Amino acid sequence: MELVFDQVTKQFKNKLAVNHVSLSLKEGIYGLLGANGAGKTTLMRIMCGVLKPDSGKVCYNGISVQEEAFRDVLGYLPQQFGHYPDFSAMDFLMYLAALKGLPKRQAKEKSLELLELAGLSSVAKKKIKTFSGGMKQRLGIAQSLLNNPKVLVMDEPTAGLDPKERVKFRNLISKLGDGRIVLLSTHIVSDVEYIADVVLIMKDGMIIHNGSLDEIIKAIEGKVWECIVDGQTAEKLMANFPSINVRKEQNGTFLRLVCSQKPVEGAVNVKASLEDLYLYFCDK
Amino acid sequence: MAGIVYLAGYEYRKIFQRRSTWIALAVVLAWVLFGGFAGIYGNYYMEGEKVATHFQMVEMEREALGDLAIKKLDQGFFEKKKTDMETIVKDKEAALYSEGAEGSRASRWKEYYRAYAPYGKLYDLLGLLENCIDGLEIDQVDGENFYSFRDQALDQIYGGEQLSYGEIEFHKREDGKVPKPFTYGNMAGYERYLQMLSPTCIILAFAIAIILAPMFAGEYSSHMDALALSCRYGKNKLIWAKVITGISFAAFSTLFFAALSLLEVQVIYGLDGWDLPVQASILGFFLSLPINLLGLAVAATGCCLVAACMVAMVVMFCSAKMKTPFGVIIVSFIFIFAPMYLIYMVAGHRVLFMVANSLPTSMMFVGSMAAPQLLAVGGRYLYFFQWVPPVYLMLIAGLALWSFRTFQRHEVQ
Repeated sequence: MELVFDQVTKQFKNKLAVNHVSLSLKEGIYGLLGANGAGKTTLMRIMCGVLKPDSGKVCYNGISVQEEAFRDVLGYLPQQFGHYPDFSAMDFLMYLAALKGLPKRQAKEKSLELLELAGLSSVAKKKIKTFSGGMKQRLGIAQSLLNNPKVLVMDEPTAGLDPKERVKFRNLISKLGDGRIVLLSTHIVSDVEYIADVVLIMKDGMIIHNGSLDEIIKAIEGKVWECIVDGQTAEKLMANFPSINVRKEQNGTFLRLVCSQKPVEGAVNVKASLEDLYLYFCDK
Repeated sequence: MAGIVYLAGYEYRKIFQRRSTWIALAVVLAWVLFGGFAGIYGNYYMEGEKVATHFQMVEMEREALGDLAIKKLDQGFFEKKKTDMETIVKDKEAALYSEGAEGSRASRWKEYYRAYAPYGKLYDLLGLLENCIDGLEIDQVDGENFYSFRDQALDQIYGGEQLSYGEIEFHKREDGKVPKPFTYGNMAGYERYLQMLSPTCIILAFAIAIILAPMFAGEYSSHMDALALSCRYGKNKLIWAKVITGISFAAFSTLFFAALSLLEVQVIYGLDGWDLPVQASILGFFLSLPINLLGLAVAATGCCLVAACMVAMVVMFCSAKMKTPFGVIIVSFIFIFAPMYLIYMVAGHRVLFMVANSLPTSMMFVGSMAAPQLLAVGGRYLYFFQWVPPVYLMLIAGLALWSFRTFQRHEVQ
């Protein structure tokens, strides 16, 4: 099982959204991190065959993602999850199951199972327009799993979920990693930190980091510092180095920043996290 | 195919879950009911005195035409008409306006109208002749010259429309096949149906534009396109399901409202004159078509059906091409509305007329579908209603394929 991006490029007017991305995804959970406009959504749309690249190609086990055979193994939760407000949750899943080619009986069983999994069983017959943002998002997650996909692509899946729901979602995705390729993009670094086997960091249309959490954190290992300084020094440091955290305290300003050398006397070197790395690269 | 039909079921659900669908269909329904019953609503007054309801008038005419002693527009009929007019009708009319009529005008009027009603429709035809032939007076017309005056009027019409020699010869040959003298009787039901059909279908076309505009564009604006296109059948069966839904919706709704109109006119006017030649009616008096009123009603309904399907396909094509349903509605409204004006603007220009008269809205009018301008194909002449529907079917197939490719190649951005 392999999904290969080969020199994929996509340009919108003057903006190069995806810039010659070459990548190979195998079984496992991939977390795609990047700032707004980095090209994550464009890359995912190309991967799902709903947007054609200007050059390059994406293939799954040698099949182009434009083929019906690929769509048959694909589960996709788009960033803007469209729905029909007057459909009930059950109707919506049954409709998408029909679009995914599931036989009617199997579609019903699967829809009920996924509604249960998404915690929507009690509102299965209610119209989607009555749902909260979180409920709609859970429905979106449920629909992406209808055809038991081999490739699962989720664009911002935890947006709109409360902390409890996010934890449930993370646990669900962790279980789904076996036997399939899961790619999820998010702004919430902790989601990726908890569940991704491989982290991809995207910037200006390019994948600038690709590796396991431990591997990519090595890039800033020993460069993360914490210190408490006066206001004037804090301003100066923040102007010169990427700041991860700034907090006013009684005895001065607390700073967490990334710097290759000790930035100020009294600064303490601390263990780097994915969030440090992410903010460091986004700031760079 | 079963998958497409199943998905089409969901497309129908989407259509009927929208409030705009019900409002649009309610407007068409209201129009159909109004069109049928408006003719019998209200009363007929003389000198400020109510003499009958309109429904009573319709019933009296229906009864009179049903009980005709002579059912052919021949010399015998014209002579009887002349005698009745000079004796019975004249006397009844005089009694109606006499000094002692006040208070009893209703019963006197009914007696008058009972005598006049058998000839009302004939006077409509004679009125047409009078308008066409300068100096002709209705009283001059009898069973001997009625048909030659009609031929004279037809010659004037053919000349005015600048028909070719071949077209004129064709019309004369066709007209020769119409049995003369014309059979005469109760044609009010078919006349009313054919009169109602055009506006009903035009209003329905507007409704179809509103209802089908979101077919594809609605998916774009609701962001369902990404989800649909990433599904197994999103780039094939779903698109066919949408096209089939749109076309079948247009066809079923046209048939439904046409059937409803027919039911209405059957109840009010009766449909017993189905076998009368179209030439006996004011709507087909100048047509050369050798068919009866039922045949004309079937042809007109068929044209409206295909025209409605064509409108539906154009709406869906725009829907696949444009980003929002609102834009689709605007373009579709122009497409439906424009031919009604265009047809007058291009009068005199043969090619432009042929194009304008073959547009869907034009094809919903009996006058357009059976216009005297013909299409010559391989030595044969074809009326609009004969050549336009096959052309529409080809265009529908072409636009369906184009819409298919448009949605299939749509890129989510």
